[in-house]
Amino acid sequence: MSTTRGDAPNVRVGTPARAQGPAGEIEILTEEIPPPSQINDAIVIGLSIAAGICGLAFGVVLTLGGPLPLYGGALALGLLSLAYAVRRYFTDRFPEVEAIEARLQFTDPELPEPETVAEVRAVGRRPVLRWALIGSATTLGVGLLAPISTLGPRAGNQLGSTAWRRGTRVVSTDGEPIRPEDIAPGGVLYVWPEGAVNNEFSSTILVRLATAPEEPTNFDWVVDDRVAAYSRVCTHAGCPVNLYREQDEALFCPCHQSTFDVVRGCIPTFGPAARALPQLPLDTDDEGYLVATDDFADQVGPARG
Amino acid sequence: MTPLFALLFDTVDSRLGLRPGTKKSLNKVFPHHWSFLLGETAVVSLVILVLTGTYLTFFYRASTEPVTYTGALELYAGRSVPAAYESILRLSNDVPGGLLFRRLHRGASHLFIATTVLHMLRILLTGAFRRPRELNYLLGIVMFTLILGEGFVGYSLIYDSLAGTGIRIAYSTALALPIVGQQVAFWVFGGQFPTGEVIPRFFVLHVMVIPAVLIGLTGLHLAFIVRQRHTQFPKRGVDGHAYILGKPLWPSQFAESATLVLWMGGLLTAAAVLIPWSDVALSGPYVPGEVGNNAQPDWFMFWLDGMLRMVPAIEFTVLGVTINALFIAGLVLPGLVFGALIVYPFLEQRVYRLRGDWHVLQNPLDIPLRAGFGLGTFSAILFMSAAATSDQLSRITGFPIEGVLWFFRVTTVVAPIVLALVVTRYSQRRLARRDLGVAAQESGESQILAGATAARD
Amino acid sequence: MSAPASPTRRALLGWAVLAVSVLTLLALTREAVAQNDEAAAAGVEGAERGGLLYAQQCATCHGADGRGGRVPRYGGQAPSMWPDENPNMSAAYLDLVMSTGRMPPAESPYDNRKREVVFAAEERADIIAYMGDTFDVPGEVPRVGEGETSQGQTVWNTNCAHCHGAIGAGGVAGGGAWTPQVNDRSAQEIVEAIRVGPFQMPAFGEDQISDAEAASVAAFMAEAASEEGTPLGLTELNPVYASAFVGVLAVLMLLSLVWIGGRPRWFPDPDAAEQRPDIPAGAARKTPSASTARSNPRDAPSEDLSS
Repeated sequence: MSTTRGDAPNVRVGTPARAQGPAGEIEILTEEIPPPSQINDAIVIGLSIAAGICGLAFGVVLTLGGPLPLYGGALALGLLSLAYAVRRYFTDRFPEVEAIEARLQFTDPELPEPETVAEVRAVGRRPVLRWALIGSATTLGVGLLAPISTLGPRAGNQLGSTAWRRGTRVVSTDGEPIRPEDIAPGGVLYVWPEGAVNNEFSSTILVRLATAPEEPTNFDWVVDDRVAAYSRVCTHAGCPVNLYREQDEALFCPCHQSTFDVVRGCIPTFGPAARALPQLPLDTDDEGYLVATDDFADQVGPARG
Repeated sequence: MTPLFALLFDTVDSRLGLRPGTKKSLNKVFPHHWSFLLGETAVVSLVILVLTGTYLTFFYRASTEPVTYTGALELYAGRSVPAAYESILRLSNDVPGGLLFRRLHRGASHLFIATTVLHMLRILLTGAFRRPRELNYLLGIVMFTLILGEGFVGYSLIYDSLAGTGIRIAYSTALALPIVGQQVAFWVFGGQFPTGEVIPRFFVLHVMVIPAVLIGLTGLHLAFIVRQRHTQFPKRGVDGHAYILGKPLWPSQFAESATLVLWMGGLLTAAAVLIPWSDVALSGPYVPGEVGNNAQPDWFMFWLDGMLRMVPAIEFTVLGVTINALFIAGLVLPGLVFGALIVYPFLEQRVYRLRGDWHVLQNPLDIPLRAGFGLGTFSAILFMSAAATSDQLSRITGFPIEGVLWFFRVTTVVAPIVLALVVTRYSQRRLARRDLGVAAQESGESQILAGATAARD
Repeated sequence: MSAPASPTRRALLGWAVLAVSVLTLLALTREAVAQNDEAAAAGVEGAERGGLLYAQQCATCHGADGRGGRVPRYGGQAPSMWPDENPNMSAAYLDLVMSTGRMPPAESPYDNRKREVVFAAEERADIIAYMGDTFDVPGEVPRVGEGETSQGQTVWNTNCAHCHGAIGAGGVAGGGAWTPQVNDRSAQEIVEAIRVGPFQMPAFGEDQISDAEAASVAAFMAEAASEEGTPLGLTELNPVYASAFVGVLAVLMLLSLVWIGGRPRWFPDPDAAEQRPDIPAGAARKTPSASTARSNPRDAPSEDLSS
């Protein structure tokens, strides 16, 4: 029956044994001298020269503005050749040695109580002094954490409102105001509050639906029975929900695949988002441009804890 | 020694008294196994990262202020883009060698994280975390967490479309912390997203803070190994707890390390020539309100993204505190994973009532708890990672994304449990066949399983 | 009454009848096919040929009268070709769906990933001419001007990237829909798609994306496609494909470690098998297996723990 290596006297039972020799001393068991070989030497020298040339080539080609594959390839080749040359040198020029070294033992239950380390001890015992010092050092340390509070503004209700206000015009990324007719049927437009273009928290999407919107869409906030605006900050993790499936009339977030039903007030129908995208109260002004009549009524984007 | 080297050594030795220490170090014995080189590969990757990173730092501008690109790339000629992105464009296209070093840096970071994961897996499976090495293991977990953070912060510095999306999601995850979330998010990100503070802060973290801590901890990690010596695989006829059998530092281990360093450099350079790690010119800078389809973080964060996709739509408020899916998937579940990793060595110690120092590695299939835990945790993380590729999988296979997601939801919960149970059973049967057991014996002392045939004196 | 024919003669007669029928059938078919080909090749052109092609390839689903109908085998309704019944109908739309091979579909008309272009450019023009005459399909096939790649990228990232991906490689849209790859399409198709918004894609009017901007988007897509990339032909990697390469790199690294960490035996000493290392006396524990303590530690392979 073949013995597996499990048969080794590999057992740790009871007290750890003591090493016999002083820890750190090594003893060589076997030494294998490689036979001298011209071929090996030739390989080492040849590869070393090749590696050197490649290294120089790398430098030259790089400085002269050559293409990346050329100087990169030269560098790679040089390093790989040198690696092999080094290996050949050591394996063919040095004996292969098997050695043995005694380990250190750290826990030794046979020893009596651990001896004290410091030579000098305090005069008398007044723990209250020690604790006073340690306590105050700790408190001071905690106080030193205070500058962390200067790293950012105090958390207030910043996430409770966006840049949309009553009467804010709806503009495209170019800053142009928008008429409802500008959106193709079944089309979408990526819009911002006027004066706050690229304000991430206020990013909004305008949709011209092909079918009539249904509950829980707020019909007062829909223009021409078809044009609605929703926040496009995903209520899951904040990615822009820009992907619109025209035939399904659904918004799809590319990050974690949350899907929102635009006909039904952008309620989530699939994926990890739990809240509907807030709807923007929309209306048209005297000149026919789209304006907001208020900020979003619900929390925009992901919830705070 | 060659005469020149001997002269140099003597010069220094006569001023510092290095000879005894050098003699001891040069003859240190290192046990054989290729998997022991994984940690060293990680360290070499770190060195490459620091060197290439220093070069990159000379060109990178840590700011999101709009700047006009005046370089050779026609696509961006005269365009106004964030300064960070512009500096990346300039480095990639107008500085000779810039793109190579950028790719080297990114490729080395991938290798760094991959070998760290494999190294951690090796430690976990072979039991190198057992007493007296628990401290080193915990140190390793801390370093692993730092490495993940460093990688995330690093690829966010590019400030392209994908990076910006990732920062937004990180910000939303911070917001999801109960009670303190908003304030913590404002402190870390400098206010409501997006602020101009994020990139400069990430830059400081990526270039100064995390590398300093990481290098210090790596030094500590290595110092522990030097002091405690390396563990080794069991070998017949050798008492691995009392002796290390292996090769001396000079010449054998040095030869291996030297070859490794050069070979890795060559491999990474070849990869940098052939694979466009982090080429970003076509995808464009981050603009608030824009996102690209096929949005994923880098591979080492797939498991988090997968959880974000899979955890269903949960959001409820209790006593004014909102708990949502982002909090569960982005903070609670990863916390559980790390918690499990941290706790495992002590759990194994408790369950099997282990005592004493262990310097010899074990076959995980001989230890049912470890086999089950290892396979269960690792397979769970693999499934979570696969879930992050759900949109690509959907496109390739033709299954609708909704179906793909449900598939992953079910398998990620069921499969790791089944696999863990199966391998635990297998491990127990394996022990039973060889008439061994892990349980403590009457004397209260425990037996190792890999062939406990005799008691020590 | 004449005597019945012998079995052999009956068989021969049967075969003769069969042969004649088959040959006639073949001749007639060839005649029909030749007529068709003739019609296609020689005499019939323009809208007439378009009508023939429509009857062959489109009428099955969209009806000979163009009023739409039920899609055989896959179910669902094929839309009408008449603009009063189908407001999406336009010449640009027709040109787009036929030039991309979306119509007529290779298999399911609802799976928009497979592509097989059936009609050549002239045939396409003929069909459009026919449908314009017969079904009153409005509009003209748009012309594409020069574009500016820089502007194209900006417009792309605002309006297109979230569906089609940063460099137009396509993606997932949910609900069983995929956004197709765009960077391998002609400029004509891209501009048409922008205006028409086929199927699940929303349409972008001129106020949203002007003609110049649409041409720029096409130019940017051409630029994205023309990038040479690395010697392997790779341009930009999204994280999923990058992870595959990380896997390859990790495997290469592991193989390298096995090579480096293993013991090299370039010119093994033939006497090596006789050598027995001497483990120091102190190392022999007082175990029942102490007698084996002096056995050669090289008996078992040292590289691999797993059995």
